[in-house]
Amino acid sequence: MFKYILKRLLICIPVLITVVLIIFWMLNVLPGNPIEQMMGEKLKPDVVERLTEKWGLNDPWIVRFGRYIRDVFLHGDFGDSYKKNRPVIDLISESFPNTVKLAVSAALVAWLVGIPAGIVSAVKKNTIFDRLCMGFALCGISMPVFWAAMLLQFIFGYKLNLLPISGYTTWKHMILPAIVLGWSSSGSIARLTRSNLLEAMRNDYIRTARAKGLNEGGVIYKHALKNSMMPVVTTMAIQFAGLLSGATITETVFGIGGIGRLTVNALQTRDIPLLQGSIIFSTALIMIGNLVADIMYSFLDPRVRV
Amino acid sequence: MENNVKNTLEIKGMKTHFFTRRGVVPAVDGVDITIPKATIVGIVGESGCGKSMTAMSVMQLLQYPGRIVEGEILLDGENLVGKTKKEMCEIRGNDISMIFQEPMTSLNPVYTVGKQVTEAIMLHQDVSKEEAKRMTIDIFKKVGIPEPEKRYSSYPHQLSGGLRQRVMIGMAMVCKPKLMIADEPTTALDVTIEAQILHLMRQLRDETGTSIMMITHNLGVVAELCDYVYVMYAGKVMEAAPVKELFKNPSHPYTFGLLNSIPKITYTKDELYTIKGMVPNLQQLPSGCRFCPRCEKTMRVCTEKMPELIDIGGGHLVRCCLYDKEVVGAYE
Amino acid sequence: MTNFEKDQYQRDLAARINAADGNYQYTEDNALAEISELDTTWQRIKNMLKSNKVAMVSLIVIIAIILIAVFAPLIIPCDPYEIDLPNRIKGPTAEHLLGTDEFGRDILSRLMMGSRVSLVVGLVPTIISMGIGIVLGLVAGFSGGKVDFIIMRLADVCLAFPSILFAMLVSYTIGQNLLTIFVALSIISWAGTARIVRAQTLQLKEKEFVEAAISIGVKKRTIIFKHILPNCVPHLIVLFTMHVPSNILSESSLSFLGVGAQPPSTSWGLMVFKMKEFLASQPVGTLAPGIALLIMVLAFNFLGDGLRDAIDPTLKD
Repeated sequence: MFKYILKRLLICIPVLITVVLIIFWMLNVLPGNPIEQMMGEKLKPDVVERLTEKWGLNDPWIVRFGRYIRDVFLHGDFGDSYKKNRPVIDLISESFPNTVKLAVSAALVAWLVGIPAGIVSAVKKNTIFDRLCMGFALCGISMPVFWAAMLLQFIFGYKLNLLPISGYTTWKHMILPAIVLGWSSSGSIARLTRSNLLEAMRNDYIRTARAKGLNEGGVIYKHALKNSMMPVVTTMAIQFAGLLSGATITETVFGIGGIGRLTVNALQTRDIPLLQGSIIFSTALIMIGNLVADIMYSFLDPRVRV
Repeated sequence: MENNVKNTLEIKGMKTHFFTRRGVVPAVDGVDITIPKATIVGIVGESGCGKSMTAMSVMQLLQYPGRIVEGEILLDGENLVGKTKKEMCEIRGNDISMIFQEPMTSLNPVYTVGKQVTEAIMLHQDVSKEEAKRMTIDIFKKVGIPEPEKRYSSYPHQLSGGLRQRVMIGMAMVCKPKLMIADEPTTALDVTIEAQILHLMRQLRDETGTSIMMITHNLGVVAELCDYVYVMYAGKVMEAAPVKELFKNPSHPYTFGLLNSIPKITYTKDELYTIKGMVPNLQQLPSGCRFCPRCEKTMRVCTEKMPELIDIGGGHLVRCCLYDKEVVGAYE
Repeated sequence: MTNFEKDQYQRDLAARINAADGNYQYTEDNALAEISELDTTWQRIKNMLKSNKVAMVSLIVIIAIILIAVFAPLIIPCDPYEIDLPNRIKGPTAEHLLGTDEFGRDILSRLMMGSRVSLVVGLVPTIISMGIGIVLGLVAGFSGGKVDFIIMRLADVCLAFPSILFAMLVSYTIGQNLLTIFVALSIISWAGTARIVRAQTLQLKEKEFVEAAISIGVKKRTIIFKHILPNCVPHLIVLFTMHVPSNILSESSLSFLGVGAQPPSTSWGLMVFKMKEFLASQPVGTLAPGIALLIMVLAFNFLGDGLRDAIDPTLKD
C-alpha cells in the first residue's frame, strides 16, 4: 500500500515538471519584451530597460526556466507580479480562502442533492421520480453556468432583492454561487450514483443477499451502495479538486476574489508571473485530486488493497 | 396433511412467465416437483429449460418482468405463493436457502466472508454478535474450511473458488434450513474440488436432514449425489424417476439423448452422440410435444398433442407419446 | 466546467476493458437476457431511436440546428452585422423577432449565424482530438515498452490540465480568438480516447484471432483496420457524443470570458456576455442565446445517453 502511494507520488513529479515546462514555454515563447506588451508603448525606454534587467528577462528562456523551477521547488517562490509588484504566492494565498469557501459550499450542495437524487432514481427506476431527478441532473450538466448564474442574479438579486449579487463577505453572498456551481456539479454525481447503483444491483452477490432473507432496503444500503459508491467517491474527490482550482466563471460573474478570477485578471493584464503561478497552482491541485482519488479507490476496494 | 408433512417441498402446476416487450415467455410452464424430507432431488436440463427459473420461483426472487402466474409452492404444507415480501424475507435464508453457480461473484467483494455469514445469522436468529461469530466459525469448521478463525476475516478475493463455495454452503446451512437449493454449485469448479463439494453436501444432508434441490446440467453430478431426478425441457418436466431407475432405464428420447451425449471410455464410436437442433425459442414453441422437432422417434401424433406425464411403474414418470397406451394402441 | 462524468466514464471504460478477461459464462439468465442482444451495433442504435422518443426528438433537433447552421446566410431575416444605433436594445418587434442588441443588430440573425460557431467548435476539435487519441492509443498499445510509457505519461499531463485554463494559456500565446479555442480543445482532450483505444488494443492483441492473424503474416495495417478499430467503434461513438456538448459549453464559457470569439463575430456565449447589462430592459437578448445553448447541449446529451444505453449493455437498465 505504502509502496503504491510512493510510486504514484514519484510518477507525479515528472508530470508536474512537464506541466510547468509547458506553461512556462507557452508564456515565454513569444518574441518581444513582455514588459512592453504588458504596459504598452507608453513607458520610457530606460524604465523598460531597468525592469528588464530587474526581472532577468535578457537571458534565454531556458535559463529563466531553470531559475524558475529552482525558485518554485526549493523556495516556494513564484516570482513577483509585474502589475501589482507583489509576490505571486501572496496574491494566491489571499485569493485561495474565497475559492475554498466557494468550493466547500458548492460541493456540499452537489453532494447533498446529487447522491440522494441518484439513489432515489435508481431505487425508483423508470418512475416519474427517476425521470424528474435525471431531467434535473441533465439540465445541470447541459446548462451554461454563466447564463444560469446571471439569471439567478437577476431574479434573486435585482428583481426580488433578496440576496446580494456581487462580492463575497457574508453568508448571504455565498448562497447563489453555491447553488449555481452545486447544481451543475450535482448533475454528474446524481447520474453516476444512479448508473453505478443500478450496475451494482445486477451483481450476483445481490442475489445472494436477497437469498439470505435481507429485505430490499437492506440489499440496497448494505450491499449495493457500498460497492457502487467507489467510482462516485473518486469523482467527488476529483471534482472537489477542480472546484478548489478555481471556478473561473462563477467567480467572474459573482465578483468573488478567488483563484479563478485572479487567473482571468492576470490573463487580461498580461501579467506573466501571476498567470504562470496561478495556472501552475490550479494544475497541481487537480493532480493532487487525481492522486487522492486513486488512493481512495484502493482504500475502499479490498480487491486493490494490498 | 399426513402426506404433506412427508414432503419438504411440493410444487404443484407452477407456471412462471416473463412478460417482455416482445411477448410472453413461458419459462416454466406447469411443473410439478416433489422433494421428500432429507432427500436430494436433481433437476436436469439444457440451458434455458427453466430449471433455474424454477428455483428462483421457489425463492420468489424472480426479476421483473417475470412472475408466477399459476400453481402452488408448498413448503412443509405451507403455500409460499401469495406470501408478502416481508414473510418471504423471513423464510429466505432461514427455511429455504440457496447457493449459486459462480462462487467468485456471489460473495460481496467489500465485506469479509465472516461478516457475510454472520449477517445471515443475525437476520433470522436472536443472538448477540459474539454468538453469531462463534456460530459462523463453527459452520466454517463443519463445511471443512481450514483455519476458520483466520478465514473469518478474509475477503472473498483472498479465497480459492472451492473455499468460496464452502463459504456459500456454510452461509446456506447456518440457519439449518428445511430446503437448500443449489443452482449448478460445482459448474465453475475444478473436477477434484467438485467431488469434494458434492461429498460435503451429501454429508450435510445426512447430518442435518436438510433436503436439497440440485440444479445441474451435468448427469454425472446427478448420478453421484441425487436420490431422485427430474428432467426438464422447455419449461416442462419430461421425465422423473429415482436416480438408479433413470440411468438403468431412460425412457424419454430426450433423456436417452442426454445420457448418450456423455463421452464414455468403455466403447468407442467415431462420433459422439448429439441431440440435433437447439433449445426452442420459448415464444415459438412447436405445437404438440415440445421436443418433437429434435426427437428421433417422432410420430405424427407428436406434432398434434402434448402428452401427459405417464407412470410407467417404479415411481418412473415419462411425458412421451411412446408410452401413451391409447396412442400406441391406435397405431397398432 | 470540466465534465466530470465524461472523465469518470473514460476512466471506468478503460479499466473495464483492462479487466475483461473473456471468462463469459453462458447461463440461463444470460440466455434469457440475450434473446434480443444478438443484433449489431447499428441495428441496436436504430432500435433505440425507434423506442426512445427523447433520443429521437434530440436527433431531429440536432439535424434542424445543423440545417439552420448550413443555410444560415440564406435564411437570416436581417444582416447580422448591420449596425443601427437608433434602434439599439429594443424588445421583439415584427421586424426584429427577438429584438436588437447593443448596436441595434438583429438578434435572431446573430443567433442563427452563431449556431455555426457552436456546431463547428463542438464537432471539429472533437474529431481532431479523437483522431489524435486513436492514433496515439493504437501506437501505445501496439508498441508497448518505452513508446507506450511516454505516450501514457503525456496523457497524464493532458489530463492534469483543466481545459479552460489551457485555453487561456493558448490564448495568451496565439491571441484571443476562435482559433485559440480550436487549438486548445483539439490538443488537450485526446487523453481519454487514447486510454480507451490502448486498453482495447492491448486486450485484442491477446485474443486468438488477432494472434492468428499476426502469426500468418497479416499486415499490421489490416489488423488495425479490420480487427481493432471496429471493436473500438461503439466506445468511440459514445465518447464522441460526450465530447461534443462539453466542447460547445467550453466555447461559450470562454467566449463569455472574452478569451474566445471576438466582436463583431457571433458566438452565443459572447452574445450573453454583451447583453447581460441590458437584462432588465431587453431580457430576450440574454435569454435567447442561453436557451439556444441549453437546447443544443441537452439534445446532444440526450442523444448521447440513448446511444450509450444502446451500445454499452453494461449500463443498460
